[in-house]
Amino acid sequence: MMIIQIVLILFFVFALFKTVLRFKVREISLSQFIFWIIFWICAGIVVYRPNLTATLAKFLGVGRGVDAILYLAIAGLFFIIFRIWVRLDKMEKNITRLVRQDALDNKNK
Amino acid sequence: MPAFNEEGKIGRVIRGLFEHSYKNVLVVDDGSSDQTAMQAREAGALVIRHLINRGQGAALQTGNDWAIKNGAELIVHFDGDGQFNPKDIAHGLEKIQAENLDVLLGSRFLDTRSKIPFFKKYFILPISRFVNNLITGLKLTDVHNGFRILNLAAAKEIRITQDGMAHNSEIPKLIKKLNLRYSEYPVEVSYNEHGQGIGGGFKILRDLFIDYISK
Repeated sequence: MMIIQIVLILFFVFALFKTVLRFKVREISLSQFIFWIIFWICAGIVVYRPNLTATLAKFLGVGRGVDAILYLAIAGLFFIIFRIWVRLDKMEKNITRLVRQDALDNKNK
Repeated sequence: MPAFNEEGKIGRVIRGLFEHSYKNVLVVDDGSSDQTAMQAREAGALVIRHLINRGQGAALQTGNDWAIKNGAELIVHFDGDGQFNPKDIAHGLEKIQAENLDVLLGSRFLDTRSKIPFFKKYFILPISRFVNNLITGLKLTDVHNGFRILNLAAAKEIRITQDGMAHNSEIPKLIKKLNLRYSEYPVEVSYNEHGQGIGGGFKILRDLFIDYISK
């Protein structure tokens, strides 16, 4: 096993542990919990046995398994960034609404 | 009048307005960390405060909301940093009523009073005009001019959701979309050192883009 595999697997175990903790204090919902548990376990399996991705790569028409995973991961990341952007924008607008309402209510402050 | 950290200038600007007998001056202090609110009050303006800084667009909308609530018939947007000339208001108020317009937009290009720095005049502003005309679909000679007069109907219909500087593009867009009667008229803009450079322009484009994709 290469060192990078050990490091990544340790990281996934850590993330798994964190996910369980978050779920315990109900910071994340059951569906989120399940999603992340499956996600980290899959990530661990892929790192442990990279050759498993070869089938996927072949199916997608990409040369190597690692490449297929990378492409998918980048696409996924962009999607997540997009969602965070949109949410942040919504949050900003809500903050403005609160600040505005406060300003209008307290004109003599 | 939106104001953010303008303690050095705001008093003079407000006194200028009072000298031209505009007494209903509302300052929206956009979470300034200096004495802007106090200076504005001392100069005789009514002041409401954003607890935290939300940007010029947000402050303008707060001002509009306040004005609508308090029975304004015409609302003048006027910068708090002394760039505008209070003399230009009278002519504008006349024009908007005489021509039965909803919105009157100030332009520094319609007469020769404004001494626009060379780089700004021949480089930054033409580019921003081109981009804006493209985005908003409204042909304006001066797209980023904070001097505006709105009648009550326009103030009620135009809701500024761009908290930052992109409201300067959002407003023309809404004028077009809502089919408001508008016109431009000449105002004087005097230049002090600060203003938005090219970076500011990119920030506006980014804000507009985020807004576009989050709808």
